[in-house]
Formats: sequence, C-alpha cells, structure tokens
Amino acid sequence: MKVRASLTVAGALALAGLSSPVLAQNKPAAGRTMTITATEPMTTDNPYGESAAPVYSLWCHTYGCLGRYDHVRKKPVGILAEKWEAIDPTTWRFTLRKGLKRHDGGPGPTSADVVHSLKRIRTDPESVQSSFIAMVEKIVPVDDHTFDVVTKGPAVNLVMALFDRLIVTSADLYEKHGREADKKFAVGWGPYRLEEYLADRRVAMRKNPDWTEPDGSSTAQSPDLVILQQMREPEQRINALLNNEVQVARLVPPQLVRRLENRSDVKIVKTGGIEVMFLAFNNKMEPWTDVRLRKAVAHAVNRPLIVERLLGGYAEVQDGLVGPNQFCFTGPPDRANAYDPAKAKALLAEAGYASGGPEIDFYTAVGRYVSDRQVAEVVAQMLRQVGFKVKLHTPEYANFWADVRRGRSPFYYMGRGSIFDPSDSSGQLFGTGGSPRVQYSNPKFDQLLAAQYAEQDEEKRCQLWRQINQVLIDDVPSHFMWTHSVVTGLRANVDLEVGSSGEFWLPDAKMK
Amino acid sequence: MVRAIAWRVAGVVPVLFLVTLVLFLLLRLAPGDAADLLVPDDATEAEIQRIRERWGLDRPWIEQYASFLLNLMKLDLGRSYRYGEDVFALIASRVPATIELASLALLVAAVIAIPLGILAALRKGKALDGAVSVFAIAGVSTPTFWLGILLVLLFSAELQLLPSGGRLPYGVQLPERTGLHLVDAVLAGRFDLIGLILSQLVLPVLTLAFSMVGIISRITRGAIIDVAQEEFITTSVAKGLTRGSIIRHHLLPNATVPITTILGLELGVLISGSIIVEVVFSWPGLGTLLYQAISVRDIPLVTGIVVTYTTLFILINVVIDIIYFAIDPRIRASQGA
Repeated sequence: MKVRASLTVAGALALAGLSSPVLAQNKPAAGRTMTITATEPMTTDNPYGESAAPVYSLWCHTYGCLGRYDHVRKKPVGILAEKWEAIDPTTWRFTLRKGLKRHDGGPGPTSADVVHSLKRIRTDPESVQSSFIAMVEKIVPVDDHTFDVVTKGPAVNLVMALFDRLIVTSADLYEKHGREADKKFAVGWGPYRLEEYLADRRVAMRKNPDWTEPDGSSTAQSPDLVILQQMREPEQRINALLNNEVQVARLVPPQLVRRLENRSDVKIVKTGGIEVMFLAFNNKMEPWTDVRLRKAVAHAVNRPLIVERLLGGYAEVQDGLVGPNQFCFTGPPDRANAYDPAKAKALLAEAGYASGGPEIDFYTAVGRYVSDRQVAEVVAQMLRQVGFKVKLHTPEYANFWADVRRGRSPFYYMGRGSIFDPSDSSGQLFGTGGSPRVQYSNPKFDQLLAAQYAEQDEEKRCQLWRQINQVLIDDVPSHFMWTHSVVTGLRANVDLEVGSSGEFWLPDAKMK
Repeated sequence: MVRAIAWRVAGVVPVLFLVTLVLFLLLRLAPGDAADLLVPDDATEAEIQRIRERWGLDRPWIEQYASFLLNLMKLDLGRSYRYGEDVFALIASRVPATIELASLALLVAAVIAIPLGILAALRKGKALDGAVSVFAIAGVSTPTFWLGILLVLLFSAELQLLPSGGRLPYGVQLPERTGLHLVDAVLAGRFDLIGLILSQLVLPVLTLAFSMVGIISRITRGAIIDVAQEEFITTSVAKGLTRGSIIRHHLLPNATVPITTILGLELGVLISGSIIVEVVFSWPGLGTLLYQAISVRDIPLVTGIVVTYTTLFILINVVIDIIYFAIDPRIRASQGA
C-alpha cells in the first residue's frame, strides 16, 4: 500500500513537472536571443587551440580579429584594423582602430597585442594555428596603433590569410594570468562579450554595448544574446529549428532541406560554397602517372547528373580550383573535361586498356562530407561503365586521412575547406614538393603560382589564376567536382547574410 | 564476504593493465596519427612534428605506455590532446551526466520490464505472453539512434512538447553538488526545475530504456518460470496458499537473484553503451566525450574513459555481489556469515 502511494505521488510530481511549458522554460528570457547550432567540436577555450572556420568566427566576434572577408559584398572589411596597404612586395602596413574599449573597460587593441597574438600562435603549446601564418617573417610595431607585417617572400594574399583568422588577444592580461586569462579574463574588443564557454555544450555571448561597426551601420536589431548550441546531428538541428529551440540551424544537408520548405515559420538561405570537392590522384602512383587515365576518369564522371539527382541541386559543378564563389574567378575556363564516356573509353583504349581495366582502388571518407559515401558509390559505378575495374574502400576517417596525408592513397574523393583565395592551398596540393597528397609537379604551374604571389594588380593576378586553373584542368592532377551549397535554416523572424564559408557577421543579423 | 569483495576489487588491477595495454596497442597500430588529426588540413610537416613532440607521440609506444602506467598509479591520467585539459578532471565533469541518464533509463526499464516479465511468466503460452515477447524482441532489435531520432521527430518537431536534446539550458542556475541534476535540484530546494530537468531526460531515457525492457522482461519471465517449477512451489500449492501469497512470498524472492544480475549487467552496459544516444541528444556525458576522443585518436582521453568504464563495471559487479549476500540466505550460508 505504502509503495503504491509513493509511486502515485512520484508520478503526480513528474507529471506536474512535465505539464509545465518546458519548451518555454528552455528559452532564455533576455532581449533578442539567438540560438545557433554549432556543428564543429568546441573543445577548448584557448582561442588558438582549434582551427576551424566556425571557431575562428566565434573568437573574431568576442576577442576580435584584424578583419573579415565580407563574402556577400566581396570585399575585405576591418574589425580591429581600419586600414591596410602593401608598402612593398614583402611588407604590409596595418593600422588599428582607435577609440575601442576592452570589454572590462581596459585599453583598446595595440600593436603590442598583435605581436603577442602572433607569438602565442607560434609558441603556445596548445596552438594548432601556425600554418596560416607560415608566410609571416615578423611583425614590427611602428607605433601603438600601426604595425608592419613582414613576409618571407612576396605575399599578395596576406590580408586574406590573416583576416578571419588572426585572433587578437590582450598581451597584458596574458602576461598577468597566463593561460588562466582564457578562462577567467576572456575579454577582448569584439562586438560580443563571452559569457559562458562549456566545452562540447554551448557558448554564450552578449552584445558589447560599446561596439560600433567600422562603417557606422546600425546594430540595433542584432541579437542581444547569442548562444552557440552544440548539435552535431543534422536531424536534431532541423527538429530544434522547427520547435524554435534554435533560430539558426547551420549546415542543413540536402536530404533534409525538404522538411523546411513551404513553411511559414522557417526559411532557407542557400549560399554558394567554397569547399571544393575533388577526385584526387596520387600522380606518382600507378596507373595515375598516365595523364590519359586521369583524363578518362574526368570524362567518365557525370557531375551534373550527380548534383541534380544525388545532391538535390545543392551543389555547383566546378571546373578547376577557382569557381564562381572564389576570389579571382574570371568566368568559365576555355577548355573543360566534360562528361563524355566515349572519349573516356577511347583514352583507356589508347592507354592499352581496350579490353577493360585498369584495376584501381578508390577511397572515400564516410560522413565527413555531404553524402560522401553515396557520391563515391555513384562515381565508382560510372567508372566501371567505361571500363575501369574499381574497388571502393570506405575506411574510418582517421585512417583515411592518415593515408591521404602521408601520400599512401592512390585515388580518393575529398574536399578542401574554405578555399576562397586559393594561393596557399593550391601550392600545398599541387606545388612541387607541396605535400605528398597528390605528388604533382609541373614547372609551369609552379612558375605561374609564384608570379601571382608577387602580382599586386588584381586584374593581372586574376589572369594568372585563369592560366593556373587551365593548367590544372588540362593536366588533371585532380578532377574537380563541385562546391556544396551552404544551406542554413532560419526562423522567420531572423534575417542573416550567410557567407560562402558558411559564417556570418552577427552585428549584421536582424531579429524582429 | 569481505574477502570475496576484496578479491574482486583487487582483480581491478590486472584487468586495467590488460585493458589499457590492448587499447594502447590498438590505438598505436591504427594508421591514424593523433598529430595528423589535431592540426588543420593546411598544416605543414613542421607543425605536425611539433604537435607530435609536444604530446610525446614521437617516443616508442612502450615508453609512452610505461609513463602512462606510472602516472595512473598516481591517479594521473595525463592531459587530453584535444581539450588540453587534465583527463581526470574532464572525465569527472562528465560522469554524473552519464550516470544520471543510465540510472534513470534502468529504473524506467525495470519498472516496465519486471512486471511485464512476471505477467508473461504467469500467463505462459497465452496471448499476453506472446505480446510481451513481441514487445521484447522489438526493444532488443530496434537501433537506438533510429528510435532516438523518431522520438525527437515526434515529441520535439511535431508535437513541440519536449526539447530535442541538451542538458540544462543557458541561464538556469543550479548549484552543482553531485552533478546529478535531479539530485542537485532537490538538495538546493529548486523543485521548480524538476520539470525542466525531467523534460530533457525523457527522450534519451526512453530511447535507452526501450532496448533494456526486452532483455530484462525476458530474463524475469525465465526466472519466474524456473522458480515455478521448483518443488517448494508445488508444496505451497498443495498447502493451499493463495496465488498472490505464493507469488509474493515464494516466486518473487527466489527469482530476485537472476533479475538483480541482469539489472547490474544492464547498468554497466548502459553506462558504457550510451555513446550513440548521447551523441543523438547532445547529452554532455562520457559517451560524447569518448566519441570526440576516438575521432581524433586522443589516446590519453580514450584510455582514461575506458579505464573509467572498466572500473565502474567492476564496481557495479561488486555491488551486485553485496546485494546477493543481502538477499539470498543461501549465499550468506555458503560464505559462513
């Protein structure tokens, strides 16, 4: 009897608790609150301890970075820097904004803070960001608000390399508190002040009342409180958007877009992406030393069909490394490797495989890129149709990546994230001695790449890129497939301009 | 009894040694290198090498393992490559979330499954028995990630009754004493938060519990049927005891041992097996931590979590032994108590 009574009371209590409007309790009551799904790991409050575009964006909003690339207006915009100019081929001069106040009321950013930040990126044991400043020789303060960045060689792409990524943190706070400064004194100059960092769970930041946009535009309608909520499962992101737990759902995969269509309470923003997907050959491994076989692959794969049927139209076919959403795109190339199975078969026959073959091993990651396994399965089938004998491998990502990085994968499908200015990534992928992933070497490519690094005139530089792109298309060290569209789900009361990188600038956001 | 428990606890040492050795070997033999996975795509060889040196990945594995064991003796599990934090502290911060989830799931599963198992046994061969069997098989064979997603779809997206995941939302202040939110809310007198906390637990708990109901109800049914065939039950019937009395005083007490065993085992399985459910519901427990750690070959963290799982599993078994001792006079007698 006693047990039954206790169970009844417990049940009643639970029901009473659950019958209250729990979803309403889940929403913080403060002003304009925008909850955004975070899809990348959030593992450390060290601003130099992660290297992914969303993480850089978080720290740019809070600590502040020199500037950002406005993908919508296609121009670099200052955040902490107000001016930048090349004073010679290896020196760029930056001027910091004056009148900014640190979130705790401390002084504005100075050249010493920038020097400190560069040093931390290079020497902090937890830092994993030193690759993007590899070209920087040193930073020389000119005065409190002006400094010169001296590069190891001509680096016309320096601004693009530093913007969105060089997080400026306070030298004096670090000097006083060391690594604890990231935990207890996480204050900077950005438009939002960090309020909470819970690894793998959420980050909360509140609007900095002292912040003004460099162009003076109003931030009155931007969110007062922003919460980045870790949600790695796409289904969960969509459901959370539909029940208004979150107002912005990032990275909506093509197969789930339909659930957001034709609804009055949510909307979809589709942006052309800059993560270039490609079929990579190891150009020093057989049979890929033969350009005819690489070309046969390029002609065998029907990219528009895959985009239309498998990716639901949420990708743009791309010829070469430079596409419409990237810097220096000057229109379609003069020659491209279009779908032509007859040509693919002829090339195979010419290479000595008229009666079938060669046997090839094809690798893909699973779950790393949009529909990667399905894409690879279709590609494998298309290759079989022209005569290749394909064995598809789907290793776990860590194994896949280890083999790719060490140059042990002969042929694989993968992406290269956030290639906006392709200078550094193309050098690493296709430059002689760049990395073992593709093992390509072409003196003409190397020469053109070096020339564009030194070319200050944008029009001439873009013409050089047109030539580089054509070399890559003609020689097929890799076959470029497409860039996935960035699809973001928004609640109807939110207006947000999402850049090609998938990132957005919160002061520009509007909440009704 | 004390000696038996002491032996069981002492058994932790060789088990941990073997488990960590196998783990170390597996992680070292796998092609992926933690340094490769910690740096961005565009990292140079020099940067990868720097990371390798920083974490001692350039040392021979036997040396790394020896240093791990020496540190383990001092209860130091090292630092996580990915989080840059002390592994012990990281694990300690996540264990309560997993224990809260697993314990509640087990409680819900037991409350549903034990009565179902008893009913099925008492109606052996009847329609109810068949229905319970179907339910049990469905529970065991339904993939948890699929069920979790379906529940979120229904209760979160369509009916908009429950949150899609996560634990305590931003802005809710709850003094942490145990890390178990329900307990902390009661201790802090924050009864207003009970509903909110339960609302975030409901879907992951149901998802986990559903898979447990099947196996617990089947074991309960089997145990009751076995006991029902014992001679003392026939004697009870012959003595004219009522059906209810036989069930309460003879059937259930004698079927408790196998039921306790399965509950203990299932708790261990729940704690170590909730990875997928934690990821689906963004539950910040040990499961999500392990998922993250494995994806970047974070050897100290993976090893630390597995050591924790192993220790918890062994402790649960010790507790089950103690419970046997308390509930079964035959075991007490055999131990000479």
